[in-house]
Amino acid sequence: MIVGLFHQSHWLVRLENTAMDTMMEFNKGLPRMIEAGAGSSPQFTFLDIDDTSFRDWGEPFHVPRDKILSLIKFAEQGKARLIVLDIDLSREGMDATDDRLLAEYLTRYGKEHAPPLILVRTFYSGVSGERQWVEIRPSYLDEFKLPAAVYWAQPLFKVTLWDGVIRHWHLVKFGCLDGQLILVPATQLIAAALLSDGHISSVNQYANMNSIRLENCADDERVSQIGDAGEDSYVTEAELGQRLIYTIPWRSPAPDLITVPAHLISETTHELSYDLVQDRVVIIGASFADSRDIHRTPIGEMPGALIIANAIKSLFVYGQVRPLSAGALWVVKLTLILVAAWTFSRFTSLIAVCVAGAFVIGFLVPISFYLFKFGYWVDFAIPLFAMVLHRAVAEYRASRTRPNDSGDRQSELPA
Amino acid sequence: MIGFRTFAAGLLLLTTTVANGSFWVSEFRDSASQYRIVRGNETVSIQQLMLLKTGDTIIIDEPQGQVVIVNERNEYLRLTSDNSPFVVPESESPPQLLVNVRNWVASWWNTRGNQSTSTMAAVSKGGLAPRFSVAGSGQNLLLSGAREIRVAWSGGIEPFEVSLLTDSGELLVQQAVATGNTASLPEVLLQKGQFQLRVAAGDAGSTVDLTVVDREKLPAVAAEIMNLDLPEQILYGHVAMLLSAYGQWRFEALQLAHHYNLMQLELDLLAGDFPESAPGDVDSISAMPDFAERPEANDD
Repeated sequence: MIVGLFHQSHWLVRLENTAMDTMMEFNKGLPRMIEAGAGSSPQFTFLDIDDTSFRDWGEPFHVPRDKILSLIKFAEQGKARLIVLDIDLSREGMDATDDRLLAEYLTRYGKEHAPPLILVRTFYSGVSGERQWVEIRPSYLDEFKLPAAVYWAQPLFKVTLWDGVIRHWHLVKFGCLDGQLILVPATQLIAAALLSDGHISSVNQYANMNSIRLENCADDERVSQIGDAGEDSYVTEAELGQRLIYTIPWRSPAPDLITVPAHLISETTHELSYDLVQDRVVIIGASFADSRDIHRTPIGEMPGALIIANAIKSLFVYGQVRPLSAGALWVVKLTLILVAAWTFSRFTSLIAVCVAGAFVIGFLVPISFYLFKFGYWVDFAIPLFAMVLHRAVAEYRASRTRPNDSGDRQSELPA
Repeated sequence: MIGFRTFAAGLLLLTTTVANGSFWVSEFRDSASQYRIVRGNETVSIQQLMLLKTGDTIIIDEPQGQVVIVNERNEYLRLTSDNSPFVVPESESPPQLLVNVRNWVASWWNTRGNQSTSTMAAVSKGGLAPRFSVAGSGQNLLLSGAREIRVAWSGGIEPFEVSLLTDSGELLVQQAVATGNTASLPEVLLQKGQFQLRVAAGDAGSTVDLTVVDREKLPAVAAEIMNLDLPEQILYGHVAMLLSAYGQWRFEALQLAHHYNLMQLELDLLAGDFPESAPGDVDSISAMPDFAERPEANDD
């Protein structure tokens, strides 16, 4: 219980991170992580601008807009369930005509029951401490009026500073655009709302927030207050609910992901089948090395597009990660206390910690493993640590009392 | 909340085999009519990116036919007539807990010792200046008149901006977004005088000087060739080849080669494959070598 009071301390957070990362590593790609949860888990297709596609396209500095257009059209015509374009459209491309054609296509998008299309907003990273991740990069598409089927979202996630691993998301982010403070929801938030067909009310209320304009952005102090509310770049880990559950690995088998190299679509001369996109969530993104969009995650490196896929699945299927209810937690804690008390009174400290540890591993780890697919997190690392700590305390107390004991025995010898 | 049966069922799932993913067609060579897919009692035509079902039979009739399919492990299988007929097998079982645990232990173990490193490139892509090909840092001569200027460079990162300016810096023509490593500036009327040619990639750029001269400044032999009664392409081909022997005139040689569609000469010039030049030819036009002594110039 004392250890629990320091739950948010840096080193306990690391311990818990390691435990949860290991749980994700064990669960990645398992069918059990698809078959649970609130909604039927969507199937994903990653239209991947890989190194081969990049070379086929002549290694362009910007992703060619005509290629993007062909990929979106393919997903739209294939009746995808949802399309996410994880490519920065802030700057104009290499060909003004292609830029115009893409913009015109987007302005007409959705008139014939097309799947929802999510575009990503990017932010200027800024200088540390001064309006960091506040200024939204304007896009050349801003001058066009996009239809209701096209949504703007933000692809920002939180990197844990000590190991550079992405573990948390920003569900909403405030930013400044054209002097106005606006709220931009995360890609996974809008995606979950759209996929749920309006059944998740707590998510739905954010879905249209990208159109809300709050106030003038000129007041630096006000902006930093709003922007920092629960949006620290330094993750304190207090927000369990901001944690993603990664289940879809990159370059490893995953039952709910098909990766299709983009050049197979853009450069083909054959008739294409829509089998791989029909009724699936299609994410268009890049994995080629020069895209600089490969990141560390608890289940290995992966492109940003797949982090978004994991985030969509995590929010839609498991919701926000949450602990057990208070009552259940107390039952678990009391059980552990009783077991620890019994073992430490019955055995020497080393054997006691082994027995208690075996109980935690044999009892708590399976529960944690089982409940993980429902989005519940039962921490087993900290109780294990508590056992070890308890043993250290017991050893210390024993070492303090031992001289007196031996002294007593010596004094008794002459008698 | 969670009953024992549910819990037990969850544990059972760890060992249950569930259909995992599917095979799909990545690519195939030539026409779709060369291939047949037998599905049950019917034959379906092959399509790129089509999903295959267990039991589908792929038949490749032509010896040079080739189909690439992808399995659920993202492995590519190349089928030829040697593999025909190929029956799509049962999908493999999905990832399992014990396999994940084993892989996790293996990855932890492999990060010890020599295998704990991987290669990365510490390189900035920006800031590299493109450098002109053919045109040099010295004098580059160009004939006056209405000219469409062909420019070539290497290095730098797209998009490029190619500009022709007067000596005082006034912009004459420009191609604002150029890709690749060559560009043709729109036709512009050039009078005698000094000009600047610039190619830029972002903030990084290179500039060379152009000196526009009249035909009288051409080497005497070149002028004589131009008086010959030959088809225009052959005539200017010889002139271009002759001029390519002189550093000062190589840029003009490139213009002629491009304009008269002398592709081999243009490629040679871009590749830096010039005819040998006599010492001193860069400094003086009059130091022109004897045309007859240059067998390279007589080729083609």
